[in-house]
Amino acid sequence: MEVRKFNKQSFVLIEVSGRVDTTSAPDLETEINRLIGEGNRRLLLNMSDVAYISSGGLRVLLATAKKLRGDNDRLGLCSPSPEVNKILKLAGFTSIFPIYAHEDDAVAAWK
Amino acid sequence: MRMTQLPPGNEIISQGEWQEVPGLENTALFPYIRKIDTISSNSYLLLQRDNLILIDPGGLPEQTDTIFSVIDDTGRDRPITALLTHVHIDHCLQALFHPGFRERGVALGVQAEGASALERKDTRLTQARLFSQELCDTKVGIRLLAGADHSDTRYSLHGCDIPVPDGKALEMQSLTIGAGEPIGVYHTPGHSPDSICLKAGNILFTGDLLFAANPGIAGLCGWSQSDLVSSVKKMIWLLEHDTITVCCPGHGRILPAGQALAILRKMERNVASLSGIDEISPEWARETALYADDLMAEVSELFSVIAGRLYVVSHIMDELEEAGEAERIRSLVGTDVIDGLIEDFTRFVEEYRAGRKVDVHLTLKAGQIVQKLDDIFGREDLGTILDPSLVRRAGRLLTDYMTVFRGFRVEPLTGEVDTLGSLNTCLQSIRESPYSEEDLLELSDDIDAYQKALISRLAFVPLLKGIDLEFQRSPAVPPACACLERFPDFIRTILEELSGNEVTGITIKTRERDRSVELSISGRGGVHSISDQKERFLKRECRSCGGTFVLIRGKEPTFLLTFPIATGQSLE
Repeated sequence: MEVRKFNKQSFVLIEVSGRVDTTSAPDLETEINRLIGEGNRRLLLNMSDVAYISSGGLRVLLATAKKLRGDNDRLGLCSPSPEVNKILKLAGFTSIFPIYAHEDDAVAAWK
Repeated sequence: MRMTQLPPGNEIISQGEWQEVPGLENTALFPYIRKIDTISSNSYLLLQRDNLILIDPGGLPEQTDTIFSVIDDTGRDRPITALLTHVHIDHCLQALFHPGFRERGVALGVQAEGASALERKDTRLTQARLFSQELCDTKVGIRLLAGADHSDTRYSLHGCDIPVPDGKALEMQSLTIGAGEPIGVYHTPGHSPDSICLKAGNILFTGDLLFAANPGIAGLCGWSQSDLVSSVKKMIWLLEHDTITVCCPGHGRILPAGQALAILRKMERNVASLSGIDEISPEWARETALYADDLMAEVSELFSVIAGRLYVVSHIMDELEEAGEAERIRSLVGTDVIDGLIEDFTRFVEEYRAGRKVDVHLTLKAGQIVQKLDDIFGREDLGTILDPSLVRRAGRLLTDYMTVFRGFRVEPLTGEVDTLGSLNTCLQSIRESPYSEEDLLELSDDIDAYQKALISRLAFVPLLKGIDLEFQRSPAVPPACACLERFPDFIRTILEELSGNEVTGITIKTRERDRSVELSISGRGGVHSISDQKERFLKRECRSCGGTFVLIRGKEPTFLLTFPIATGQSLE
């Protein structure tokens, strides 16, 4: 798994690629926690290059949602691969945080 | 040579060191025990007064290197005889190919049928063809249990069959090499026609007898259910009446005789149920490996969904400040363990795809993983929270694989399915939560019932929300001949597939056509990422329902299911 970060105007874009499984999920969690610890309260995860997300990866997403519950906080996912989108949808994650088809949709919604 | 002196009465055998053989004064044992796999067996060295016996050289060159170095450390130049408990290549490959065997003039002792199989390079009986392994010219010096007694300057063989009550005599020979103590040779066919057990003092070397009824092993070429039943009975009798205290198996740890006896008694009951199993041929292995690969992709998706739903419910319970209940729900499935098992399999598949593992390895690995998943998958607890269809399907994936892995086929248990009624029930359950808001109000006086209903409602995911559903039914669709239990779950699988693919509309059509009930489910809009693997999985699932499946790809992917019309004669 690879994680790349980009500081956008009003949020941090986190591009994740590869498999988010038991081995790699803790690394993703560490990176997200570091960003939150630095005061970044608006995170958008681009998961277009994630082929598989295990329950360990899902747990990290929920743990992040729990940390970003303030009025001005935001957590969202964008451009999930079909495989990841299907798991998120069937698992009911769409009720926890928004999933945007494209990064631009998140930008528009978070204005 | 350093030898462990065991106190009298203590007959615990340690691996990787020389020790006295219980019941013999002039023989020492060195066990080489491996982690269980299909590549190589355990090996055992017996050091006798003037010779060495190597039982099962195994399948790995480094194993034989180690064994020869252990032999060299004894510091005495003695003739070596390799005895095979049977000629499967995981037990004997190094005896054929390792140069040390020729250099040291190692004599080979094999049961007569196994000896012939090696000499004619029989890739079926040795299982070499399953592992794409070629064989080489081999000469067997000592033919065990060939009928006639034999005596020369190097070894002698004397037959002395043992009468066993309620059965045929246990075919036995006594093998004496040089001035060594006699070794008992017992014919125990079943796992293979040439399988033997060997006895030295109070130790019985059991080869693969104790695993011969296991899935992925029962059904190998040469396996015989009737011979195995007979051999198991005879060895139970022997363990009950002889002085054997320890059993050294071909794979895995050394066992006290009592434990081996318990395994054999359990086997005696299990072997009877193994009638009509498929032969484990290369074709079977190829088909089952493909099935295992497809199935585990489905298992990993389904278990992620199950874990995800539990996390969502737990997350909401946390928000509702019900931390205890949130924790209970989170811990209902051992998600870390499940993820770990799936990752283990994924790594194995990568090795398989890279050509480092063959079909049969993948089938065995999947068997091992599926068994572990089945052991930790708590169906009952989950069924009270999650959509029961999800839990049923996950459980069924595991049991179906084990059925195929055991050599059986998943046969549809068909009945008369009211096609329209079943579809309606399925659609209702996928659209409506099991508990309405009114139900919750009704239950608000009963805390436990209320919480159960609330959790169940939170776990419900409205998969068809926002999807335009069109149901075109012929006025009179006859009942289908299909599996009553699997049919609605299969329809649900397809609807979930479409929903997960973000379709904007679904059209369901039913009609009678060519004496069949035809059901087509099409998706409109969406991404349509239905992989070949998913298509194969759905085809198999439909077959297990009693129907046939066709996926018509295109702008609007259509799943076409066809079932025979139910008649009195077509029902099972």
